Amino acid sequence: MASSAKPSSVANSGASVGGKSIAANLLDVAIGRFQWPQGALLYFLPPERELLPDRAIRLSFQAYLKFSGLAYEDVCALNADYMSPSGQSPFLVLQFGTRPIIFSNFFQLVSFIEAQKLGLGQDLDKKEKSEHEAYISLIKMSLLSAMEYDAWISKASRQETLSSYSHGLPWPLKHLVPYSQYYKYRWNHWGLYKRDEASVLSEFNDACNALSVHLGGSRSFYQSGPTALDALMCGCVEAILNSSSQKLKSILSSYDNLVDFCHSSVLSQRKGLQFISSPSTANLSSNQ
Amino acid sequence: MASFGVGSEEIRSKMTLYVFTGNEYSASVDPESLQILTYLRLTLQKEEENEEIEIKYTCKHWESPTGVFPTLVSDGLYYTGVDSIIKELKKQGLDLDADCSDEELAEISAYSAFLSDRLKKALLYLHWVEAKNYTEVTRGWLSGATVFPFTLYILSRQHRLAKQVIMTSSSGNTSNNTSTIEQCGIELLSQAEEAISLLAGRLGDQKYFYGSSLSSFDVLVFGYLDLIAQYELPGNNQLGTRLKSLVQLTNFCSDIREKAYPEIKSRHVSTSSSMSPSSPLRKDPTFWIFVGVAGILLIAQGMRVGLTRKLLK
Repeated sequence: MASSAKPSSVANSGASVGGKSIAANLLDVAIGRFQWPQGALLYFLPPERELLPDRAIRLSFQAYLKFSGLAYEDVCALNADYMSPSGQSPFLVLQFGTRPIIFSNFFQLVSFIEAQKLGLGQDLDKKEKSEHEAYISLIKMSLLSAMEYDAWISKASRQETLSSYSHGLPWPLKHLVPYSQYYKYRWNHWGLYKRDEASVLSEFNDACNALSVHLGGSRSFYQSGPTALDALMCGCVEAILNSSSQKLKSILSSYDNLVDFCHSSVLSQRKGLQFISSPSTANLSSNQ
Repeated sequence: MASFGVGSEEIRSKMTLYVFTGNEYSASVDPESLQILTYLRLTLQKEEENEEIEIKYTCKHWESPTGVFPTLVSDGLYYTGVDSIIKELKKQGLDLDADCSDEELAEISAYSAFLSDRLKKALLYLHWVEAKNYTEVTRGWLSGATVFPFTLYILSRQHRLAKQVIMTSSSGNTSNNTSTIEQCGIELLSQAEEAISLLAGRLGDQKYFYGSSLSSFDVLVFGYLDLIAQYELPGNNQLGTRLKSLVQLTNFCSDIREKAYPEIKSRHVSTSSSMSPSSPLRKDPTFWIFVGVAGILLIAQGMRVGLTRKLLK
């Protein structure tokens, strides 16, 4: 794990996703053929503070970069969400000289890497490409939404979420920050907040069923090998199975092929991929 | 794949469907309401008369029991969202996917999420946020469907909700600077354009997405693409231009429109569309209530300042 990151340069970077377009930034920093830069850094929150959807996305980031053979280093930072320009953890920083490019969104990273022809979806035909995008949307709209609902909206787990989100924060921030984040989330996701748990779980079940049918008995979703869909699915399954959310876990566990897919077939292809469980304090301190 | 022949002996419970109002060119101007209406039209096409489903066209969200469109009320239970409404309709025997395999049903489920992720937000931006389209087209849709104070309220509410959805769904910043909403819009439109190209690639040279028979996949795609094809927007019309260049998709839309809505005119609308024929302004009782209240207030004000007394003297 690297500890040489400069939070200020990352947080104040003008090259964020929401600002100037990524393509324009790339043109500024890299003329000619795109090459993956040395020292790419993946920032994320420590596991004690990391919520279920954040963990799923972080695992997806790690799996996708590992599958694609793109080198990066993990940086576990207590204030990763404040360092991110979008306020979301995890995020990936690519250093091009003095100007970093930041991806705080998994889907944007995938489309960028695929556009640079560095990704895994190069061997898919037209129909498969369109299908691939559709299944990624299904995970985004159903699985990730259900995880967010479980983390922030479900009454059963809200208190646990607030207490884990306050982990490591000094007084009085540990009382203020989780609630401010909760109300911010509630305001921004009013549609999800108004939905009832049964409909969210039913949608989650339907999505798992569709993904299970699509996967069948294969080791990956497409014959040509692992893709962004495999990475995303792997991240989501891994996060849910290791979470405390009993409802999501029990639904997912009933789809044996999805669980096996994550545990056996993909594990063999991601040798060396570390799912962080207990980061060292040395990595935390340098970024606070 | 259409299963039109629903047996007359089959007992179907009484259902009520609340959809967003339309105009003379579209059954509904809300893509999800249009999808459900088209689904019903295609499944009920061969039945003589459908008395089990009552369809209520309205733009007033408080008239819908859940406050959102579309909403289906069946057996006292409320269903919102296209997927759950179609699921309920299938339970009631209105199944357009009867011949689909499990793999195809899984694909339909994935594409439903894909369309809602890519095209729904882009259409929200084009219709409810983009300034010129909002002023010249969208406001026209509502002006005929309801009366003055409600028009303003509904328009501003929809505009606010659309902005909120767009800002939170964007992948980047959610800061409140003025240029961000346009940046989010541009990002959504380019994603939607890519989605339309992918759909064209998926359709290929086929008539419908699963060959020559209709399925709910076709209905879901039609709901979005028809609204793009029907209205030539005066402001940003990026998606309309892209769709026009894809002949196969345009023909696909025209074909389903002719099948489902033979009575609706097919033409481009470049400015504010006229009021809905089903809801003429002057026949709306609320209009006359407001006229009465305004009259009473006018007389009361006149009496307060003494004008009426002076006139009587």
